[in-house]
Amino acid sequence: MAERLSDFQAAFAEAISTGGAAPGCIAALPGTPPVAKRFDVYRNNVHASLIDALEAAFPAVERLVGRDFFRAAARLHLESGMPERGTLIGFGSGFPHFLDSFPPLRSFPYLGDVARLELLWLQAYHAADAAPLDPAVFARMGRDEIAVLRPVLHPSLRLFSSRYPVAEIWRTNREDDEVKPVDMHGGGDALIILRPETHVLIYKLPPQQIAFLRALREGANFGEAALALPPASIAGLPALLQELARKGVFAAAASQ
Amino acid sequence: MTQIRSYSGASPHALNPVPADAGIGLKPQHYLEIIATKPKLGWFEVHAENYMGAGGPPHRYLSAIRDLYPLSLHGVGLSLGSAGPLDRAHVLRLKDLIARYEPGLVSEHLAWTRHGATHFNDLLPVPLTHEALDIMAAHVGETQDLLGRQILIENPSVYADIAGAEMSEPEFLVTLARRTGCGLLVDVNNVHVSCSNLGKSATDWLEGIPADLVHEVHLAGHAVEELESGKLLIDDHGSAVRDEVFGLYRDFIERVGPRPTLIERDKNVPELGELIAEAMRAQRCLDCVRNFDMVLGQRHG
Repeated sequence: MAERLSDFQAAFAEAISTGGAAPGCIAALPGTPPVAKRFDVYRNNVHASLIDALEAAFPAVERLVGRDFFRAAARLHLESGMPERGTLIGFGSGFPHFLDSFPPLRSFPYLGDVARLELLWLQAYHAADAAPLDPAVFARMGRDEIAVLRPVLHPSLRLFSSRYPVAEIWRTNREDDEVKPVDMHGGGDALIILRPETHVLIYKLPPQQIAFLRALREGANFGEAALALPPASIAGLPALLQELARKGVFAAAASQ
Repeated sequence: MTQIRSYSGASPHALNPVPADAGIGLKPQHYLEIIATKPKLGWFEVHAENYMGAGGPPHRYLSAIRDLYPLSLHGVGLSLGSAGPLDRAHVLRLKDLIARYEPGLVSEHLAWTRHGATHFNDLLPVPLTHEALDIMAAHVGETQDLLGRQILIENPSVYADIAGAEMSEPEFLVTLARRTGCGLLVDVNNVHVSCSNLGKSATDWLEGIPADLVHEVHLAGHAVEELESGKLLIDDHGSAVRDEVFGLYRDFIERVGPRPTLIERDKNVPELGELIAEAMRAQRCLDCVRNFDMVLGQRHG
């Protein structure tokens, strides 16, 4: 009598995850490679493919900690961080938190935020496409007219604030042949990450502008969101909006 | 028990058919070269799951290449062989992708990748039992109903026997296809790898598949792990197609006729030219079989 499919899969999944012995129904002919070796092919395929996926998603983190350390840490992360969806786009969302709380990395507290930036980079990369709004729209309008507009933010736009200079840590580890030293005492970063065309772009902004964009994301119109800006800069709102539009922050704007 | 559907035969997607020529698996590192040089290839195939994001460069480049070539979507994450319910959210992601690219072929595997809420990201083996066949047939039928089209099912690489088998793998696949109207994608490298690992004859395996069910063929390389107790072949898509696999392929298409044939390479991806050269090797086989058919007259099923 054959084992039920659900029992077979429960035992197989358990053995893959725990590293225990292969389930009893796995068989091999005498004089051929043993069951344990055969089952290891499946176990290795599962873990190697997922560690490869994390490696592809977090190249800056990998460079910071080294390949061997990264793969060992990724393997540990899989004990609680297996994917849930059938596509790996979006996989790894728990990895930054894992790095934050991984005791061997206690003296590298910025790694979690570097990983968060890499996740946001990927989100921007895979986000829906949209044509950026022409900055000239704002040049033709007065301040009162602008104040009641509610923009559609570009679907790729992500906002990120960190206590650490993550943008420069990320940049030198992703782009430079030789990693450059980063001033860790120069303060944190307030960033936008977006992909108006083919390339993902990262810009540092003053923190108030991030607060302004956050208010817009929550549904405020330009006039309401401008309360986040320093009073002196409200007069310059049209110029600020043109500058943000040039970066590709807006997909549309309508008065309502 | 699922009903027999009429998905086989005339496809509503005949506008973009994948020809019975050689194609290659599309890799991101080759996007720009393909768009710039438009190499002479019959078609491209992609893993559907790599294009399940909303937008961005993957879609931009795939769209440009889809404008130039027929396309096949090959799924690796649907888990049709799971005892649990079909992942309908994943089928709907696949359906969106089909609407976007109108592929000539859509395929998946005789495998499971999901258990409960966990996606294992590997094609795990299905026991060859009547119960598993019923479950697999129900999931294939449900998928075809949701997609409104035929899918193809590929034989996986297998590394161990599962006790209690009630039929052979070809019998399982053929019954599945007859019951659900799905087609078969025969991966000749997987046949070679599985049969070698299980001490069976690859020739007998291939003889068990009727020509009319074969809609596509895959070719790839594999690794050989030498152990004291013998060798284990591992399907890693990391090297060129081996001669013994090519020999099986030639014999197979001589019997079943020319079929769309894919060169797969997912690791150690070489220059585009190297993959095209491998595709040309398969293309010469296909041309040879076609010419032979023309001399001898129409082939019978």
